[in-house]
Amino acid sequence: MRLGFAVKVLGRPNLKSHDTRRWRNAPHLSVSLAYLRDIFVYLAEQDVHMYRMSSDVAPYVTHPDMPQFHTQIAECSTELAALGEVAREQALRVSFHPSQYIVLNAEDETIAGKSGQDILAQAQILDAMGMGDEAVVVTHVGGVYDDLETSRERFVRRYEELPELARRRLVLENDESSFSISDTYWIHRRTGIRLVLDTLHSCNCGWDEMPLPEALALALNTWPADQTPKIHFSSPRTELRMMTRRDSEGNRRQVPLPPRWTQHSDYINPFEFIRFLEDARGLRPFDVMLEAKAKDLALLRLRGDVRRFRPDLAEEFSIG
Amino acid sequence: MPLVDYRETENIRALVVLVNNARDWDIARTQGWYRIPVSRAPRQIGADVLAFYFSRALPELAWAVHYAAPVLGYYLAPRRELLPEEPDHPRADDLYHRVEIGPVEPLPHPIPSLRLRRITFIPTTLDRLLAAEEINDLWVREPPEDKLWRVLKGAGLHPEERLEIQEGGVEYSVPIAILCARGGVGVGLVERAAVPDGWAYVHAPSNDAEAWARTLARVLAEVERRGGPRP
Repeated sequence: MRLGFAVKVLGRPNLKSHDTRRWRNAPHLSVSLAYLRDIFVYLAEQDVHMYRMSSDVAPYVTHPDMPQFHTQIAECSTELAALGEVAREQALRVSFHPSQYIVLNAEDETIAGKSGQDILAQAQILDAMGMGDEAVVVTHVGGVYDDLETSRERFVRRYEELPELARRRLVLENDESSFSISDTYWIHRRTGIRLVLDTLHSCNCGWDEMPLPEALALALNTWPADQTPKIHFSSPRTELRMMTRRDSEGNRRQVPLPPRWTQHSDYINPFEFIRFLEDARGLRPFDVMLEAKAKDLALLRLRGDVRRFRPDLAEEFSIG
Repeated sequence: MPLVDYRETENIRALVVLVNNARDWDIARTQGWYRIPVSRAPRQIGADVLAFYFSRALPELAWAVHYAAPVLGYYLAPRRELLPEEPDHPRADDLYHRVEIGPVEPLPHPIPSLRLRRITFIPTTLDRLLAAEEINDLWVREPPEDKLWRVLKGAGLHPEERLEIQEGGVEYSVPIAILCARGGVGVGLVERAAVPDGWAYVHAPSNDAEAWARTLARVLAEVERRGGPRP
């Protein structure tokens, strides 16, 4: 089981995930690739074999008003291939997860079209790196604009309109409110798209919707037998939130609020993860993207925690 | 765009690189690129800005960082492509990172190495580059390292960061080095580090203020044993 984390590295200073300069400073994919090369060095040193790359590695690559940025991927074919070779040597599984502004099922055709372009660009990067089919671009269904069934259908239509290269790399993740694992599985049945289970999102839908072990097995089996599925795991934040509100007389007051269970914690609760591993026993092997605010630090800590508290599970699942 | 006009300078990464021959400096200024051999590239090469540290090969600029340029791209190319006038060079087929840069501009003030030391690469930030008084101010340290550095500098020991020493055919990289009248003292957060003959190494556990105080006492004792810190 590979454990991964997303984008930002906290365990070593000065490691950027991509070229963050504004357009007037001529940022470039090749600079992002140099930063990624540095991160890959760090990942090898930490024995981490799964990583989500920033969706902004190719700055402004699909911006309609900035054609000067549109050819970056082609310009970096040699460098992308070289970085891909490094990833293969390190047995590093990479992926993308476009931002919430990528909405393939948007009612607005312009937004949907732009979303398709961004997905295609990320798929092209993975292709240029020579990555296998397990290197994926993760997306959500999108919004419920009219009704759920129509919104799902619109996703299916837009998905089928994508170029083959984009469809080959795209996978679908459930969310916590609009489109549950049942909805994404409905889309899988229609399109064959592989599913990524997000455990926290699934829990927030309630076990009446589908118990987590059942959802896990369902999602894993949407992947071909020769590919290792991936899922997302996170723990919910439990901290008290203090918000400033105005009372009836207009005075500002600090008001205590409960946590939102959909928000990610800083570190992964090891006991929740251990329980999850116990439920996963007997299922086909899969990889886990950890979604925690402490990023690589959370991964390293969890690895140590599983080895410490349940060395039998650490060995069974080949964790660290 | 002048370097000082970069927005969000605290997020702008810089890489200090060595210029040890006039040709490479001429190429940087006139052709807008600098080469780093892939086989000898440092752990971190990614940067938005390249800054140039000069060796004795350019006497009027030697032993200081004087110039910087925005990075425009990183491309891979064999040496024979970069330097076509040397097709038969033994390393003609070696791969290099060709770092394309924008206009080279002088820093607000040179950043000297007070000990005229050998430098290869220093990953840093633009705001440090613009504020540094001497070369050791450029290193970006993780919090325990930074604390250790401040403790040693505050004690008047003139520490040198990541000093590379060649002695008896062996290369040493001392995490923090305090040069003494006789030999030196290496200090670091790792339990053991190789240091040259005649040197001492002091491991600095990074847990609490009391531990730092004990570390400093040990370092001072070792420095005293070696004739005091070299100014």
